[in-house]
Amino acid sequence: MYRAQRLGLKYLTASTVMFGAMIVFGLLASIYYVRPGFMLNTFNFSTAKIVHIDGLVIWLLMGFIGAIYWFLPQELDREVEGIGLAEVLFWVFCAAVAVVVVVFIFVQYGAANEWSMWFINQGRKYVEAPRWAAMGIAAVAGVFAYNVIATTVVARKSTGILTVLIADLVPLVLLYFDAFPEMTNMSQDLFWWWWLVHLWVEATWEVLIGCIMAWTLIHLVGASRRVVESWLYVEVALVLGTGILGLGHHYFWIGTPRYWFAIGGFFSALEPLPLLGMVVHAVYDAGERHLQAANRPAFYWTLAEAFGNFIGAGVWGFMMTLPQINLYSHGTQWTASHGHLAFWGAYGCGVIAVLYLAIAQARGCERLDGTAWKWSFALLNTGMVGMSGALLVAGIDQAFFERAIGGSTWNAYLSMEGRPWFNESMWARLAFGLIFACGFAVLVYDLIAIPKRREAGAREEATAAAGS
Amino acid sequence: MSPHAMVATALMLGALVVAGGAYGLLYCVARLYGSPILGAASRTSCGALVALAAAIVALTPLHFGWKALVVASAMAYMGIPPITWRYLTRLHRGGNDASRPAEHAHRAHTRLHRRA
Amino acid sequence: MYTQDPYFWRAGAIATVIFMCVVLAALTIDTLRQITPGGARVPAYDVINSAVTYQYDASRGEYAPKIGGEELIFGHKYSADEATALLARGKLVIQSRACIDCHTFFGNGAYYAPDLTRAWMDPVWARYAGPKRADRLAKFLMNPLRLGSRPMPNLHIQRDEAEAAVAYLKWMSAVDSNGFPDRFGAPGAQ
Repeated sequence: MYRAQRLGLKYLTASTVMFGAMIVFGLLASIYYVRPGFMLNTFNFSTAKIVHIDGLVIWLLMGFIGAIYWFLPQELDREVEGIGLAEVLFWVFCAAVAVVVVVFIFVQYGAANEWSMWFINQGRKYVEAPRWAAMGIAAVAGVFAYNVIATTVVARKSTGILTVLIADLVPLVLLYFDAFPEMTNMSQDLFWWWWLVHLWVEATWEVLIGCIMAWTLIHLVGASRRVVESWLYVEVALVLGTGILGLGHHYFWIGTPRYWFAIGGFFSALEPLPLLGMVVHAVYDAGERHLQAANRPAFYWTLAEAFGNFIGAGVWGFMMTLPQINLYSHGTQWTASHGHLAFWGAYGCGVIAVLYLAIAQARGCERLDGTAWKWSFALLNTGMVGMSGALLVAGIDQAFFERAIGGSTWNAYLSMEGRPWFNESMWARLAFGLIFACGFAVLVYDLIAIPKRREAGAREEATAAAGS
Repeated sequence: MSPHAMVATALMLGALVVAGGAYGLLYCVARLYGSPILGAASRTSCGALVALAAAIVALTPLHFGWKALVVASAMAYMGIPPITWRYLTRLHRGGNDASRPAEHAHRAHTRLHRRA
Repeated sequence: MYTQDPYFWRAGAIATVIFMCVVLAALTIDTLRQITPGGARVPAYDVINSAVTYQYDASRGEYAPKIGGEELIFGHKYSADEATALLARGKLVIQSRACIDCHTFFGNGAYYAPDLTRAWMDPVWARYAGPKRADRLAKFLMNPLRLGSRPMPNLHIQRDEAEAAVAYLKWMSAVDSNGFPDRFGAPGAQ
């Protein structure tokens, strides 16, 4: 195994740990909705939410990095350049994340000064990590990009997937520089913030997961490189063709000009179309192989990625993207419903597919099946669909009563708290969150059990050989 | 837009995309298995897609431009599955697709453990 | 057929991305110009010296902020530089306490607490005239009352921080957000 692949496995392990932390703090955050005043002034909702959403970004980023370290040496048949530095930075990254989380939990906030921005909490959604940590993350991302690009240069060859990945990594890393500035003008702050968030999750991350899924299909089912690369180019054209100006759907209400209604509404309405193409391709691939693959969990999570992306990002997004709807849905639980399902479908499922593939390959498990992965698959997806459904009901209730009728005033908001559909949805969300957490526990059990399955399989083969 | 119209429009828009996705899925599965029942189901989904687009045009207070966008989207949802299927079929047929799944996975596995 | 050639799609992807990026760059330059404080969409920071209301504009068919005559806060008429410094501090308060992780600003943030876009003119506070309203809001931030069943925590906001945050909320309520939130404070709305 290449050193980069060992590092990839470390990143995938860290990713799984962060996934678990995200779930714990997500469950905690959901308790506040059903028990208002829970741990008031000791551990407030905002702290739980910060760890939850920042944990989301970190577990997915670590999953992407781990996947690429796993596939890159196989792609170029050589060790990754600068791997020693990358190995050191992995531990630096983990330590930084740990320190940031500890400070979030135990210090929580500071006074309105630069010290707080540098060492406690920057207070901008998804990028609350203090500036020192943001610099660390930027350094890790920079070295990671160097690893990929330098290895390709030294190898004196590239592939279609790698070229797309490199072209994508450069803007992806540069966009992170919005994690630093502090702008007085909220319109300007949010304008640039959305460059980071949207052009990550609805543009560069989509290309990134596309590259990872391309490699996954090659290694998982022996897909032809020519086919996956052709398809990757099609997807890049369609996803970025709709997603770059689809950024405008975040510019309806932040003080920016009205032409963003037309531009943002038009392009974001087209964003689900490439996702439908992915569904078609997934069904084609699945059908071509009669739903059979040597590594069944990886295969099914790859399929889940295509469907989850279409439903979470496409269906839910299209429901609320037109400005006439968004005026009322914006900033409600409807948004949270879309966010949960979209992140899960577009990225969560893909990282889990890579987890199964990489760990099975590393442990020499040529065939992987069983019962536990099916339970995990069912529990996680049921939990997520249930949470998103509950949030959708709450969000529509909120958009209708608090926003459209109530006018979004303080009293309208407070009176919404007492509405039965809203309250029952919050309980349902918590219940499905627990189901999701159970699914995660089974997932971890199943991933740890993979080496044991190889040994059990080898023992069975030995017994069969002795008997014959 | 009234609150009721807002919710109804949003749900119809979501249902439109669901119908598009259902049509895509059922179209592909019908092509794979050659099943007349699945073929009928895919045509029903397509019909639902058209009906929802018509309902959005007729019943919602959206302006003309947005209705035109919805109709164009519906047409795209109708066109993407057959066009993509045809493209994928030709793509897979053209060139050397010799690697079988088990064979490729075995090669990757062997290469991994040679390096370890 | 050329559509079977992957390089056709690669060229298409490159051309599409370049075109979209160029359009985005052009729109970004124009948008940043339009959202610079002092323009029609985003007022100068010293709007905190004026009355700000939110009314239905029939010509636009939506609600829009209206800037009125002089209405001071905290007994002080802020110069442009003083207002800029005060609002910079206010933004720092908002970030240091991570307000966006419970509240929303222009609808962006967390959904656990009310949207603060027009908090300055919320009917809860609107019964107080400008100077008194600012003072009541600042006192609330320093020692949040329990309103409704979802209480706001005490984030140890000092007096000067509270004044800066209130000034920030007043400035923010004067930003033209294309009618968001709709019907805020309208008759018949709560």
